[in-house]
Amino acid sequence: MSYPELKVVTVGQFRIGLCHGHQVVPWDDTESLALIQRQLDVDILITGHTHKFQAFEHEEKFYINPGSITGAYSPLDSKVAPSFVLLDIQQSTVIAYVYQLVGEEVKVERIEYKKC
Amino acid sequence: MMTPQEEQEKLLEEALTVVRTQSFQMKRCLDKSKLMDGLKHASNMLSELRTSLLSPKSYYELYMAISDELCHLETYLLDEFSKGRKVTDLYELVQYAGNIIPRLYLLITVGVVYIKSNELSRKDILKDLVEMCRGVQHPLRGLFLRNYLLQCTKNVLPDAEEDAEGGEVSVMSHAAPRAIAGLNKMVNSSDADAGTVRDSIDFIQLNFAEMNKLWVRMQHQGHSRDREKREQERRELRILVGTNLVRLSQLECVDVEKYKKLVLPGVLEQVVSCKDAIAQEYLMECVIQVFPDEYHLQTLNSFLHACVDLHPDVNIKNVIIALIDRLAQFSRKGDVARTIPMEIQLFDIFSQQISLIIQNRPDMPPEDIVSLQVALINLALKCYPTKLDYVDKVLETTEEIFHRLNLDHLDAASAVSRELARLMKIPIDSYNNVLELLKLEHYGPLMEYFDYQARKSISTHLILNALENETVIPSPEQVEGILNIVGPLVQDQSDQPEMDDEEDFAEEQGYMGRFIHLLSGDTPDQQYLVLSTARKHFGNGGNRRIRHTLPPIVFAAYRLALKYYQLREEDEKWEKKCGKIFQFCHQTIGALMKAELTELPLRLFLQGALVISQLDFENHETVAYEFMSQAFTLYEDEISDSKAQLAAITLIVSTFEKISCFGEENHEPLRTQCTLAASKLLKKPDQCRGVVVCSHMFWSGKSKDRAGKELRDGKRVVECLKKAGRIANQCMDKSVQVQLYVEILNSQIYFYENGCSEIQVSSINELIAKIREDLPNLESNDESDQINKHFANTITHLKIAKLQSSSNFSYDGLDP
Repeated sequence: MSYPELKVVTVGQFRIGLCHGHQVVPWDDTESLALIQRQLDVDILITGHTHKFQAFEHEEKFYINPGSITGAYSPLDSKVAPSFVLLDIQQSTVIAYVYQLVGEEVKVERIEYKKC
Repeated sequence: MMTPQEEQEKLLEEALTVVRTQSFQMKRCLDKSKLMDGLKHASNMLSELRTSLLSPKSYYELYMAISDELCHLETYLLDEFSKGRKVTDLYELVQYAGNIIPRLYLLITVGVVYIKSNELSRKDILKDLVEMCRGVQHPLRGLFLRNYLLQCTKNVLPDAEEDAEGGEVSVMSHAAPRAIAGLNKMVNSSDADAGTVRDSIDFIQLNFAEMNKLWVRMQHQGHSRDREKREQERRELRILVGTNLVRLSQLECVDVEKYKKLVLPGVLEQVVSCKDAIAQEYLMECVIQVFPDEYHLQTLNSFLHACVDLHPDVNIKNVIIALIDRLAQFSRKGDVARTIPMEIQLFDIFSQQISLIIQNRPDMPPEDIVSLQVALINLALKCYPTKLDYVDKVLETTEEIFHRLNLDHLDAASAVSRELARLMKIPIDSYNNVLELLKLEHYGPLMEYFDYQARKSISTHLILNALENETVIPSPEQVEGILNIVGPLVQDQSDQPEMDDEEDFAEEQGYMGRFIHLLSGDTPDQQYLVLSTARKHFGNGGNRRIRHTLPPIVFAAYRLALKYYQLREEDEKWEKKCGKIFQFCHQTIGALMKAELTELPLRLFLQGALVISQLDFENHETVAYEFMSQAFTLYEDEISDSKAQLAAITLIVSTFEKISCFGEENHEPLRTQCTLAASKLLKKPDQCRGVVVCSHMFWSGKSKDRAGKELRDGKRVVECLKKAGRIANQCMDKSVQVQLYVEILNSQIYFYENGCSEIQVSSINELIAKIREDLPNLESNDESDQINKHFANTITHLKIAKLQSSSNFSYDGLDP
């Protein structure tokens, strides 16, 4: 079974791009992620590979790396805290709920992104 | 012609009609205080119970209807007695009824009235009644008659201790079928001798014995071809006999001592001596259900001893298992008072007696033998959870039995295999700690008796248990132990079938991969030994397996190396150890290469290079270089699909970009080789993209010689991008060409904004103009839409960037 390297899905008003991230050179570089965002023409770009959670806005677009849900080993980071993200898409607003396991506690963060 | 069912219904209906009529008449007479006439009608009604034509079910219905009506009679008489209107000689009078059935039912009814009215000796009446019932020897009628006796006397059985005054113990001679005449004349004792609990016990024991005899006699009535039907009818009636035992258990004054001395011996004697399988099986189980567990604990030996003597057709295993399960339940009820007393060596007793039973029954099917062992192991685990040796003993016994019976390679579908598998799974589920299993010496050997299917199934169960409980395996010996037990999951077996479902196989190997993450030594040195042991076992798993199992081992090793690095202050040998670990990894990945895998080892080498570059042990640069060149070799020699090639070279470059441990001596050849490889890709678009990717090596690649700082070789970057442009020019497909231009444009922007001053704003402008020129000429479709959007987004970005002031770059002169 083979899956595509890049994928765009539309949910509500948002175009969401999915890319694993190992193809983006350099890894984990905001500007190089922006390249992909422009190419796919998406509002939200979701990538992974680094096992490090990130969520930020850049030039009015939203970038999310949900990290690793199992806290799997990564050569780029010796301490991986398990994390995942849920996106609540309502009209032109997306609320990202970020769940992170810090020690024994589950911490939840709320990040809002509005489409221009 | 009526069916037998219809016939029965007709007969029953006819009988019930008589009952209704006669009972109506009886009540009318009693209302008018015409007792004798009333009794006559009662007698007529009771005569219906003389029938031989009704089935047990129908007879039961008739019996219930009549018993109801007799209640009226009893109530009437009690009423009369209480008002002082005793009917003289009533006890004798009723015996003049013509036939024995009505006579005895009436006698019982009247007898109970006498008892309840405190007339005469309760003890004597009871004795008389139970003896009199001998007059009916027909099994069905006799059973119901005695049941009537039991029901009527339910609340009047004496339940007092022997009184200290020592009332006269009147020994009644065995009563003849006719009542002792003049019984009602023996009114000399002032305290109508009420009797003690002993008398009740005797009463019930006698009733029980007689009922059992009648019940057993049914087995031999009638034609042999009707045997099954008869046995079924017998089973329908069993509760009648069992009620006697229930009644015994309801006597309050029966304590454990009396149970031991007076109750159980009599019951067991009757059960054993009747030599009837149906009766024995039911009654033994009845004893277990009806009497409290504390009693059973004190009488185990007698009970189990009786089991040995039971009829061979009795399903003894059900009896034993019922008892063991009850006692196991009992001991788990938590209450301190309820624990098994120390003197009662429950396990030993059962263990020995069960052996005896098995010995006495050479025809016992092996699955039943195993069922008994299952019950024993449950007992051990529930009542003696800390005694591992009990569990081991059960396994040992089972192994001996199987050896003796020459059983081997049990078919997974067979009953004995299923039962044995059950046995094997119990310790797994009970301990929830596979390390405990290793302490059972006989567990592993017992596995050998199964066939491949079953061994695999139990192994999977074991591994899943470890995964669910996150059981950490800390020592190499324990790793060895477990991997030996779950052999079918680790290595090919001699009795393995040819075909295997791909999905199932992948799933089960997935479990093993996950299991590897549970292998965790207490110290790093210990962990190394653990991983080496695991590697040895899994390495022999064959090509299909190692692709699932060796990668986790490699990753575990990478983590271990990191651990050593983190603890380097405490261990002066850490550098050598790290070196050894990467040698181990190199070898392990090599094994995957030998299995003709390519993508996987390539990625593992790249991951390794990344780790190595971060740990500065002696020679780590050389080792990292080795890993990178191995990855490269795989790329060159093994990857032939063009899409895969581009993906691989991208991966190699992006990994390389992150590595900062190479000096120029090593960095340069790698850079060159990558760029060369990119430009040699077959398809032009791939070449173009490959070269663009390589440009990053020259910019953000980090060299040890520059203290880990980026190369920022703008000149080489520009060269790459120019080359990419030339390659794009050679593409024949216009839309692909334009797409590539837009991508190159974006890369230019990337480097320019990152501070690469060798890129000219003019060349950016040039490219923009070229794209603008070519875009409108593209055929209108989804692809060109995409390219247009890409370009538009790029321009938007430039406009924003132009407005922002930045120290890195200035977009003066940009014409977006």
